[in-house]
Amino acid sequence: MALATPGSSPRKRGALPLPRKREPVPSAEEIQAPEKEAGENLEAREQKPETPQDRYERQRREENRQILDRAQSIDQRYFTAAGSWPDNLDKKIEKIDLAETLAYGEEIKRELIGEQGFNAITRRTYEGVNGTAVAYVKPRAGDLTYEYDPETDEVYDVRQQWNEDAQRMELVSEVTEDEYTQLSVKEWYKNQDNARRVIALHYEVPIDEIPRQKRMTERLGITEGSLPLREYAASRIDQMLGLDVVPLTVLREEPEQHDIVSVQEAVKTTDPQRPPRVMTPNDFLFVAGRVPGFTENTGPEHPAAKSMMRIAALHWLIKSADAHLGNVIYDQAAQKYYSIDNGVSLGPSFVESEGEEPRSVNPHVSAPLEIVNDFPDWKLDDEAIEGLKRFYEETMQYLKERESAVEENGPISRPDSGIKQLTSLFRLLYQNESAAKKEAMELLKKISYLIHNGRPPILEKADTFESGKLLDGLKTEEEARRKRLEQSTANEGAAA
Amino acid sequence: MDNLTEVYYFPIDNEGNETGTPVRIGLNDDGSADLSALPEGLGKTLEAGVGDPVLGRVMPKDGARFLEELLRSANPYMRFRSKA
Repeated sequence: MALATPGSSPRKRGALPLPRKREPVPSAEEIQAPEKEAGENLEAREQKPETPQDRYERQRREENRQILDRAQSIDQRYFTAAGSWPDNLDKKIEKIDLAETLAYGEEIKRELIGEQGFNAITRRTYEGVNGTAVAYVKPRAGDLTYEYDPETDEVYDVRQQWNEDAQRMELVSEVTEDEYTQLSVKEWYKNQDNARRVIALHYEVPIDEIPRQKRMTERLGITEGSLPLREYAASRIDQMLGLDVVPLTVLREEPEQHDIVSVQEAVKTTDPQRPPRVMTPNDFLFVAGRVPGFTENTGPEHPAAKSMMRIAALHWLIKSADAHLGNVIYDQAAQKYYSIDNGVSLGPSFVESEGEEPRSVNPHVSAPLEIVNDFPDWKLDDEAIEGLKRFYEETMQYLKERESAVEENGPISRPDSGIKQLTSLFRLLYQNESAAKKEAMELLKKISYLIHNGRPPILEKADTFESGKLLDGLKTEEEARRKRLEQSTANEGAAA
Repeated sequence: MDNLTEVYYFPIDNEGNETGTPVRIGLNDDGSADLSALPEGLGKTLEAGVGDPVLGRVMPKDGARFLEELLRSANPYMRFRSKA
């Protein structure tokens, strides 16, 4: 069970001096874990007693192996079931070929495009039997986490760092300098048992199934090392529902560091003069038909508006919590928006940790959700609704068949059914059967809502993009343009 | 990163290759981040602030903190690094 226990969120704001190495302190689970066979590169040390670092590395590799096996099994079933996808045959074949290239193609080029220690994303080119693909790659070992040491009463920033000589990943920590982070991590640590109780109640599991977390991430409910997994799961859900607004993403082994990476295809466009770029508020003024003089072919039928509504629906389904404007990419040639960086999504459906009862809260933080709030009459396009209906009806049919089969001949299992694949994905994220099923059923209910209402609900501003400045900015810009136009018209009139 | 006084934006072409001259984002006399050299659309996007709205959105007026947040918020389509 790896559900993160919620609490206050820390935020690193302090300086980042050179890391001060400290012996990593293994968690209670790490210490009590049963002895198993050592990883392949650790066999040479079999004569020596296993150190905490060796144990950490062995468990990390085992966990990565299991995750990759499960993801490959999910993908095998998903791509085998391609016959039920809503796409045409050419598009199906294209996606299967692309997934294969991203997951198994030979890497022929790699460059770091982020900032080491902040945003170590790499751009890679893979060559497969069916062609080449450019993708952006995020390592599982790239998270910054926080750890409280009750003995020293210190809070540490903890990162993973590959030790080439020892051939293992090591935890490197430094004292957190930021006061707010210190306070919030200590609060989280003290409040953990209460939070575990809340989680156990919510998912109807014994509290023993919720381990105490050793380290916490920057976001509630998002466990350490799970961002690439959530990135992959968001892409797979997008594909299963036929929304097609997330660049295809796979999980892949990173053999040099025994790690797992998420590999997301780069958004490509057909017009070399207009590269894909991040969304700007002005884009949407045009799309919405709010720019005086540019109101033809705008509104909900505009292709960009369709993709924006689809992204908003997806963000509502997956509880997207980091969808600022910079994570919405605009393909200017196709007039289509894409959602990238979906790693902070699919968290538990609550964060309340005070008191006995779990309180469901809305975790959405999404600029697209906030934008469509302002267009309450806009609906999802027909094709998107068809995709959602196909998934929902097939699931309901399967659940009915399963129910009647239990009465007659015992349980049936159809591994290629959408809901089975969805639950498998959620097992990967929540690592608990009860939580995975509950989250899958909650998502199914939301799909039903979208089918019946044609769009995600209007969410209160406080629950979405906190700034509220996006729409304020849109309105200010709209107003300024209108005034300029009126002034210009008035000037022309006066001149005439 | 306390002394961060500038970051650079790297424009990309259609293939995702960095192209042209990196654009410097420094600090104005009042300590706020200077977005004036950025392409207009990107400048407007960043005026709304960067970073996570729940954990604390950082605005250009926050100066060095804003620059630090640019490095965190960077992605393959919006590339910022501390050195040109």
